[in-house]
Amino acid sequence: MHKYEAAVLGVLKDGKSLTLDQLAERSGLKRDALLWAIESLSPQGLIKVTKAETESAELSEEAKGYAKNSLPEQALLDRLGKGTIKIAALKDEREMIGLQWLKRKGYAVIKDGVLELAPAGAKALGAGVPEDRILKELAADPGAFRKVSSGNKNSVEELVKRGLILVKKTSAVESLAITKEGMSAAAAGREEGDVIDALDKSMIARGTWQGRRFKKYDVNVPVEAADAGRLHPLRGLINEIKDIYTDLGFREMSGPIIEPAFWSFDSLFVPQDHPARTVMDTFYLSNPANLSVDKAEMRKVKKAHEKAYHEKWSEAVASQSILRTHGTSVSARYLSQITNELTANKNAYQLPVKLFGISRVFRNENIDFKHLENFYQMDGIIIGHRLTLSNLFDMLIRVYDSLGLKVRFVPAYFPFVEPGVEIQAEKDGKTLELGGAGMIRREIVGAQRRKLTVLAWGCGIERILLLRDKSLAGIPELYNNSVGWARKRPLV
Amino acid sequence: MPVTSFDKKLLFRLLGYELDDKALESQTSKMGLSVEEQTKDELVVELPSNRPDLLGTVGFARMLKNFMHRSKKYVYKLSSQEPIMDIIVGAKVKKVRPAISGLVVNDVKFDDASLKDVINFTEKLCDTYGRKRMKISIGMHNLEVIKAPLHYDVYGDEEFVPLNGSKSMKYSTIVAEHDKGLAYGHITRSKTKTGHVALKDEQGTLALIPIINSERTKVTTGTRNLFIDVTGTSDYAVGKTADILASLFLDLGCAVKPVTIVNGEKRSIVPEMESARIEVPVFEAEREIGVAIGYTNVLSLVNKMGYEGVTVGESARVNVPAYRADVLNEQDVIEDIAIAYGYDYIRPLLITATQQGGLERSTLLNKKASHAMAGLGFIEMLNSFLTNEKANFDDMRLQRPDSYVKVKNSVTVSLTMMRTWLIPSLLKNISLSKNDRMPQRIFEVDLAFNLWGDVVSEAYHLAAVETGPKANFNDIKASFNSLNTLLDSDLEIQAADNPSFIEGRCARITLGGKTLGFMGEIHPEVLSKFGIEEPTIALEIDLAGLQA
Repeated sequence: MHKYEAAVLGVLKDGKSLTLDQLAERSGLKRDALLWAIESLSPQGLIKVTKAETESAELSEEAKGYAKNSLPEQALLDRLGKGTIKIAALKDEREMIGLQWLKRKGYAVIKDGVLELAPAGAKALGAGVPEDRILKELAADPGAFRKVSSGNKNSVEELVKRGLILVKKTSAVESLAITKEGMSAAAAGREEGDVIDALDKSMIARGTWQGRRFKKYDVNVPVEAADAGRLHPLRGLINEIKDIYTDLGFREMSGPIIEPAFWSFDSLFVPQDHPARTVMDTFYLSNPANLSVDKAEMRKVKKAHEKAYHEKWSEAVASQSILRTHGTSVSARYLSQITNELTANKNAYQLPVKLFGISRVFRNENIDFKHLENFYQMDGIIIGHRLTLSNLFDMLIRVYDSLGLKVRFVPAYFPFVEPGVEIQAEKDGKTLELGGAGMIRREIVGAQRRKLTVLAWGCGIERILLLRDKSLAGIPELYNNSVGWARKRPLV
Repeated sequence: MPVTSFDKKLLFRLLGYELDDKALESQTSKMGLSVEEQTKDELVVELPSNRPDLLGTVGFARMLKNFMHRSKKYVYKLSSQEPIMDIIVGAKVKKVRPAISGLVVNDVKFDDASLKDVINFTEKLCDTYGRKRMKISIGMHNLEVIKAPLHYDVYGDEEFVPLNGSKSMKYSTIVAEHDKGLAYGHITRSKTKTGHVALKDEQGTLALIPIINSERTKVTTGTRNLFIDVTGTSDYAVGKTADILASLFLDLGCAVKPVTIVNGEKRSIVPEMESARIEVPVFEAEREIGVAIGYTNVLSLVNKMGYEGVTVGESARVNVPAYRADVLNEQDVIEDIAIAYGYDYIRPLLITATQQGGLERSTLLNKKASHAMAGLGFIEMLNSFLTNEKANFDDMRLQRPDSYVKVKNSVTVSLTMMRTWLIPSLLKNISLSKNDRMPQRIFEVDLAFNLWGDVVSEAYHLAAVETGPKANFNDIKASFNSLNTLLDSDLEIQAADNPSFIEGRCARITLGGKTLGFMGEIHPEVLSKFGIEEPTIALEIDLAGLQA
């Protein structure tokens, strides 16, 4: 006898009848082990299983639609309540169904081609058609079938006949008790000599399994899934994107989240009065309130801004510390460093330099089920001689192709690129805006502006995940994890 | 970016012909503007924030006409150079709202549609490009009732009948009570405590700026002659706005005439309607876009975008129309050439030079750590970096330190600081998982933020949490031991006290004597705070310290 079976009989042998939960608790067996033991003991007549039947209703697709609005006859009855209806005016299928049932139920009569309310119908007008009410109750709680159906047998039968509901019977174990045979089996505690329950080391070593029978498992007994360790689905996508870029010969870049506004905005030619910089959009910090910026960088940027925007440029505004609003701030830091090094030594880099970064970025959003204060961006930058818009398009097509998206490009405005590009994709008849791209303005490239062209892009990535796993409701769901949620996510 | 709706009837009247919905949408997107919506009467378009000239139907019609080669109007000039009146700028206004411009418009023939469109346009411009009237505001007046010269200055508390009002009101009352005063009164209030910026003529107030005009100079569909004032903080933006308005009325078939701004000794005639000249070497445009264009084509392309152009040597010399506020240098013209050429026709071209790709060291370590944890049966979580003092310190039984990274202006009240460690985030995940199967094992590898003096540290941490009826110190130590092997690190542990953990069931994790983290059984008081019902164990290691 298997140890699970022995455990069950051991608990039951005092003769009391137990529920499944009580048995689970007292035997210390896991649910699947317990169910397996019961499935094995019961056909041997060692225990008696009492099952209880429960009934529940399943609504057809058609019925679900009706439950949201109302049954056709109810809809037509409501209209009749407001006045008679010409039969000729009833055309669509739903109205015809309504008409038939109103007549059949005696709620309405046809006189001279006009549908009129009958006395029964007038009564039903107040209380509602019972089948309509029952359907709505079942839609709200399919488990309440027994309650709903009691006293409404005829209505329920009608709904079943109309194919609107399907009554499902399920049986569940109510109680378990030991039988006389079980008692003696428990007392004997014997292992049947010719049947092997669990294979063990000594049987394999000594070959004692030979000539014996293995006890059969019922492969249909429900078993809970094993708990898997795993990465987060978004991390999976991030790793995939990193591989795509390195395969295309890009080196990874990374940079701080807590930045002076300078790197998120000023160095990228975003004017100091730009709406994106307001407290409504950007997280500012009270500690540290300011962060220092290299004086030489400041001077360059001040000159470019004041020339282009005809406004005084303030170092204090540029030094305010913020949470970066886009990953392009990382690109800006690398661009500045690389151009400075190239100015000092023109052989410092072999051009073109191709870089990418995956960055978490922040927006001062009010959090709800659709909005979140942070998300990821992938940024790319290519620094080289004589790069073109056509090179940019080519690279973006390659990146998105690897991610399974066909992209196209339309003109767009971003303060730091000229020409500016928006990357779009068509999916399920909708246009998705995937991100921005362009050629970095010469004012930003600085001293190397005559020699270098710089291609850049910045794109959200969560959307790609939502396209792959349709069960995800929105981006916030990705950052608000429960264990149960994570266990159910496929690897996409 | 601003979204504006154009009146299609007016648009077609200005174009001189009609386009069906499909053609209109396709032309609009070819110009680089995205159509949000189109109905029978309206075309709703998202505009780039650097094109204030497109915020009204008139400007959009102008662009469309040029783009479709239906117009050859590239140069906008005033109808006469003779100023109509003087606007005398006072000394006191220079510190408050220094910039002013103006223009006179004759032969106006407004109907309901064009008047409504012009008013919508000025409001949209003041709202977006004008930063809600902070940088720019515009006032339109009936010229015929104005007695020049005008005076622009800071005044005391005078009174006048505001637009659409019936009785005279004091400036201070308008600021305190009128809905426009409540909306825009703060703009000058921040620079003058008691004074009011106003534009006046010989008969009194034309406008309380940037709040409201007077009823006396109200513009209606019957108005034939206009005076328009533009005021603000930036000479450049105010000047450009006057240029844009002048171009708009010229397109409506009106005569537009200048005024003189008298600033002490200095007299300047505005609007300036200056047209910048930019030379674009054709080879440079071809090299940036990556297509062959040619000298003849380039002129047709710049014309399409509204520039007048001639070829000079190997360059196209273009005149930037006065209404364009966004063209800084040849790069901006090249973008317009690319748009006119059509992004769809630019053939993708491979960069053939190669470079060895590679990942950051931190990425490589993070990957290793994550795979180790997943292999140990832990599920990765992804959490927000923003938190609050209660969750990060108080509920963890920690004293709040003197210094940590604090957020100033979060619109979400529960986000006040950057997390200093990861275990509280994971405990929150566990608290959301009460109905899920036990035991639960989760981990996170991501950033923690600390402030050492005034130096910010952003460091990758590894944290793991396990909860379930049988979780105890030895389980987390078992995971730790395995991790130490998989990461090939020489981490050590010593008994330690940490208020977040149960006394006597906590260890410090060190490397060469330096503390990199803690592990142990979470204190039951902490569990209660997070609403966690089962015993819970945790570990956290500073991965950056491991790499150093």
